[in-house]
Order: sequence, then structure tokens, then C-alpha cells
Amino acid sequence: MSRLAQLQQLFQDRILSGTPGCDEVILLLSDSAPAPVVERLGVYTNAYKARLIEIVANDHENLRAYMGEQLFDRMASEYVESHPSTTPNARWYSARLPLFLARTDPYRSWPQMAEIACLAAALNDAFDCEDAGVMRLEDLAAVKPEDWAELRFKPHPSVSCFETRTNALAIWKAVKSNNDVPAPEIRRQPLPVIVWRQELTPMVRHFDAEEAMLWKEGSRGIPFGTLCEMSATFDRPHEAAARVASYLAGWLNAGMLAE
Amino acid sequence: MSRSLRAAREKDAGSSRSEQGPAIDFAKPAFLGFGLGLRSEHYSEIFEHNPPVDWFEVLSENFMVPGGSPLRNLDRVRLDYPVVMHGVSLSIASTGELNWDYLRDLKSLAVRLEPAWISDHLCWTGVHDVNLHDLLPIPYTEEALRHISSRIHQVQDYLGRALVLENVSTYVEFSESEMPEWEFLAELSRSTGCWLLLDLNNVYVNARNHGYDAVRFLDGVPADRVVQFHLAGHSDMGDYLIDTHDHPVCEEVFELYRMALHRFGPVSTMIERDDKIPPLRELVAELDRARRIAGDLLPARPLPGAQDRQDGNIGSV
Ligand SMILES: [Fe+2]
Repeated sequence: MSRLAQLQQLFQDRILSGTPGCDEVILLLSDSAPAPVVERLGVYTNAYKARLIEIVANDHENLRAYMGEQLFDRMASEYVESHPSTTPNARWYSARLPLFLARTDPYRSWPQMAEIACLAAALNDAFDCEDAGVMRLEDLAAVKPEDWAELRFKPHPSVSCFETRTNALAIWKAVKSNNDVPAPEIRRQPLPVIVWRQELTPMVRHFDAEEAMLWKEGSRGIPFGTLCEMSATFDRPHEAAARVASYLAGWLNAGMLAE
Repeated sequence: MSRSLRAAREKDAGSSRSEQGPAIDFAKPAFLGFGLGLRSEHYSEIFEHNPPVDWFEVLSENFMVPGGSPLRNLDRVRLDYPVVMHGVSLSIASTGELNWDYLRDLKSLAVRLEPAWISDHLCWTGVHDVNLHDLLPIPYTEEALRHISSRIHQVQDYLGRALVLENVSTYVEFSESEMPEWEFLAELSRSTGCWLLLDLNNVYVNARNHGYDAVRFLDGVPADRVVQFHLAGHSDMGDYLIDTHDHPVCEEVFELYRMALHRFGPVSTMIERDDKIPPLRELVAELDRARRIAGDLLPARPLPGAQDRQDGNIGSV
């Protein structure tokens, strides 16, 4: 290992461990300057954690408002300690926060927290994900009646659809709009959530169970005709085609489907 | 050669690389005038009022994202203003591997933006694939000089243009340093052809933190290698200063700016503010002060002002 590599290794270890006091790194540093070297080295070690906590807080400001600054910052500090950044772009540093919250005590006993983090992450991802043309209702006007059954759909790249087991979306909305925050609830039936970008704005709403099922199947290339058949086994069969058509109109109007 | 490097190089083979090797643009970038860092807080004001700023410095990483509004807004700014790209993650002094995925994204942003130049810092940000998201200090040794020079050559080969490197604020110095920071910068620029972004606040901060005269720093930097100045504010901790970029530029740094203008002549200048970001007009007023200082000191060379920018004469000095 070169001398430079050795120095960098020591310096990095020192920043990551954050231990104060005299050690090997201190001995490498010139102490001719006015301020004590331990104090000046502290600028690096202190700034490291504070900066990463700030990144996590910026990405999850509603979760921070929900948890309270103190609990959030303690949690973020634990996240930073267990997750050294490996991305050159700080934009993706907090990506593993939902998983961390879902797996780590005591946060995992409040499952709404991981789900709120998951919502925020999906919205942040929708915000700057790749651009793609959107399929419009008008685009379907030209489809001949006999071709409808074979019609297939492609989700816009901003879309993510996942299930929540708590009322995380209701909590998130209340926090965001400064309303009374509902008590956390665990649901017997999971509640699907869809996040996407409409024009340039990240959006979120619930899907009902049938809509979620159809979205999931449609996203993996199942054609319109088959979706109608699936819908018929789900609920009143004679209305199935109309229901699928109305879901489809909703998706098209919201810009959830790509060209 | 790593897989991503080979892929990146193969992709380039048809475009910027000739059979003789890479074509690197080593021409000195033209004087751009007086600029500001681009901040999303100021977009609406920029779009509505077309403020008298000659150019914007863009934080590369903020726009190294797949799509959506950041790039949409940036494209709109670019229609009306020249830009330069300023990165924080190149980690040119690291002993870790160069991150070719990062460089590929940086290059594709540059293709989109056609910036007047691409800058980053003379520092490292981590080793062993860790990024500490900080601008970390290096020992000023011959070994470090050789290592960093070879990395600059690789990056310049890949980008097809000379880099611009900025001096950073430091809070510690390594005892084993063999030369002062200015000599290290000078040597690096000479041996690689990279240009220098001289951050005058960082010069001031380092002079205070390490107990030397800031003017010695200026005198040690080759007069013809500097293409950009940063002016910024800092926090005074008593015995030392921290480069926080959350204050207006202080009088001492403006004084240093005067001295730098004497030595370096007309150099594209910008105000760097990263925190507690004020309304755009306050930064424009601060920038106008720099513009006046330069105008008074360099009367022989007309500096492009806001009017010139609107007339489309930018860079013609
Ligand atoms: Fe700077």
C-alpha cells in the first residue's frame, strides 16, 4: 500500500469511527497552527455525521415531522453509523432507510414509519426518474374494436405500486398538510398505493384491490381482453369490461401509462 | 481495465478518440464575466426576470439524475445563460479506483449542457468505495503529485477536455508535506494542463487556519493558469475558520480579490452560497460589487456586464 493510500485509510477510519482524542491520525498532523489539532480534526469528524443526517432529513422531512426531530435524528444517526455512503451522488444515500426502519429495533415495532419512508422514497424517485412520453386517451381513439382485446400497456417509468399494511398514506398526508395526524392503524387487508409523476409533479393515491390486481397484471403485458376476464372473476361479471375501461381511463388521464 | 471502463472507452471510440489517441481540448477557456451558483430557490426569479448574471455554475451531481424537473429547469436556464459544471465527487486525489460510472454520467451531462468548463476539487472524498461526502485534505508530497497527475490525465483523456481544479479549505495539514499548497497546485497544473479555480475564501481560510500570509499563496500560483475565482463566506470559530458558504463575502476576502485581480487579470468570478440562501437580488448585489471592483481595477480591459450578456456578446473579451 502506498503511503498516500495508508494516510487516506487512517483518515477515513477515523472519520467513520468518530472517536475523539489522541490517536494515530493526530500524530500525522502538523500542530504548528493556532488552534489545537484535535479541535481542527474535529471539523471533519463532526461534519461527517451531521452532513449525512441532514441528507436523510431533507429526503424525509415529513417522517421527521411525524417522528419528532429528536427521535428522527437519533434514528438517522444510527442509520448513518450502519450505512457508510457508497454512492458518489448524495441523492441516493437515504435509499435504504425504509428497509432499515422495517428491520431495526425499536423502529420496526412502529411499521407505519417504514411505510412513510417508503412513500417518500417512491415520491423522490418519481420526481427525477427518466422521462418518457405518456399515452393519452385520444391515442386509443384510433384502435379498431377488434384490436381492443389484444391491447397492451406499459407503465410510465415513474410508477411504483406497493402495498401498505398501515394507514401510512393517511398519516403522511396529514403531516404534509399540517392537519391532525391520525393514530397508527394496522389493516387486516393490505392497502395498495400507487406513486407516479404527472407532468412534473410526483403524485400518490390508493388503489382499490381490483384496480391494483389489474394494474399489476396489465404492467406485465397481460392484454386488455384478458384483464376484462380477470375482472369478471373478481366482481360482477357483466360490468367487468366497463370497470376495466374506467380504470384504464383513470390511468391514462393521470399519465401513468407510457406511449 | 474494469468492465465499466472498457465499456465507456468502447462507446467513445467512434466519437472523440482518434487513432493517435484522445483529442483533448487544452485551450484556455474565455473570460465569462460574473456568475452565480444556480439554486432551485431562484428558478422562478431567473425565468421571470432574466437577472443580470453573466453565467451560472451548476452543481453537477444535482443534475446527474435520470430526468424530471431538475433537468427540465436546467435546460431552460441553459437557453439564456452560459454555464460551467462544478462537481464534488470526482475524488481526484483518492487512492481508490476512479469511478467510471460517475465519469460516464458526468460526461453525458456535459454533452447535454456544453459547459464552458468542468471543475471539481483538489481533494479526495473516500477510499474503498466509501464516499464521505466531504472535501478531504491531502499531503503535499511528490508521491501525491505523481498519483494525482496520473488520475487527472486519465480523466482528461476520457472527458476530452482539460479539467479545472479548485483549492479547498483545510483544517489540518500533514506533517509529511514536502511543499506548500500553492506549489502543489502550480506543479499539478503545469504537469497535466489542468486549469485552476482559485477559491479566494479558501485561500483566506487556509492562511488563517495554518498561519501563513494569503498573499504568499496568490504569488505562488502561476498567473496564467487560473480561469475562475470563487468568492464565498465562512464562519469564524475564533482560532480557526470553517468554510461554511452561509455568509456574505467578508471584507478581507474582497481585499484578497483586489490583489488577485492585480496578479491574474480578468478571471471569471462568482459568488458561492450553499446555505442560508438569500433572495437572488441580494446575491446579484454582492456580485455587482465584485463587478465594480474588477471594473475599477482593470479599466484597460472592458469587462462584459449585464448589458453585454443581453446583447449576446458574452465571452468576446
Ligand atoms: Fe469554492
